[in-house]
Amino acid sequence: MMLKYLRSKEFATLYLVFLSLTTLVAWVNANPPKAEQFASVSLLGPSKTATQYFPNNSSQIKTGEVINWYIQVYNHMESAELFFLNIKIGNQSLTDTPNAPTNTPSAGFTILQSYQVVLNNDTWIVPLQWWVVNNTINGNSVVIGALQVNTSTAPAIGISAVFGKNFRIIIELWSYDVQLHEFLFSFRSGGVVYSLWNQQWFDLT
Amino acid sequence: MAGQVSPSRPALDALEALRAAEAAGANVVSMVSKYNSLLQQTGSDASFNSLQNDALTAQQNAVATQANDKITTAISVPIIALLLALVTASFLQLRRRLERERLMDMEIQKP
Repeated sequence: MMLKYLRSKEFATLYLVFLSLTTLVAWVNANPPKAEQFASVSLLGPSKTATQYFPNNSSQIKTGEVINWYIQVYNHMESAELFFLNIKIGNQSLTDTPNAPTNTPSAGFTILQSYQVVLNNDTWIVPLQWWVVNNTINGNSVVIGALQVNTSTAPAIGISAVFGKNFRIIIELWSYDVQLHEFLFSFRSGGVVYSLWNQQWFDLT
Repeated sequence: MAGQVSPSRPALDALEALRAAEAAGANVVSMVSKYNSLLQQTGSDASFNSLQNDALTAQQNAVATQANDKITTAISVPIIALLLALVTASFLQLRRRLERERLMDMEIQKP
């Protein structure tokens, strides 16, 4: 009786329906939907929030005044990424502004480079403590001589600003592209290169 | 300039092996941690080569596991469908039998 039922059209239909359903579930499980690939770079103050970047909340700083920041990089590229933080100092010159549409980095003077592999959906926080070690005055321009960045002293050759106004720290995010075998400013997603950067202006008084 | 120097060629090769292992489904958390330690210490080429070998082994293991998983899925899909069809069929037959018995009881109780 049972064998006869197993050969019936009703059982065949039931089996086909369940076979379709289980196949569908297995396929969805094996091919999860692709999430959007992106990364982000943020500059944070000493309390790891986007506030109080400078002592006394004033971007007019003095030589020797210590600035404490954190740079936060978030990876949502769906894979572990080798990120490269290229931190530069510049003035208001246009060439010091990175050009995201053409993926052109800033022409500013590099003061710190840092590399780290960041797992997907993970965050990398880099402490950045810096101060201007010395500066010279040339006519009406203030020229930065050297910067102390974390534990090293970095020369800032030729970075000057009229009356010391509008210097800036520029933070560029780069990543290593395993298909192109080179570092990109900043990453490739869906065949398009996106450039991420951040900056903070200050005056040297 | 302060900070780290650019990663060496063996370091980049090790990274590519890590990425391949991750893409194959391997757990790369501990290898990434080791990689970052080597980057901080400007590790030797030999250390990165060793890590690259570890990543290749992890990739091979992950590929083998994935192949096994695919076979298991291919076998279990028709079996699960068959079990579900049998359970549903049994339930339908039981319902029909109960319905038949109910009708017969009603026929017997008729004056």
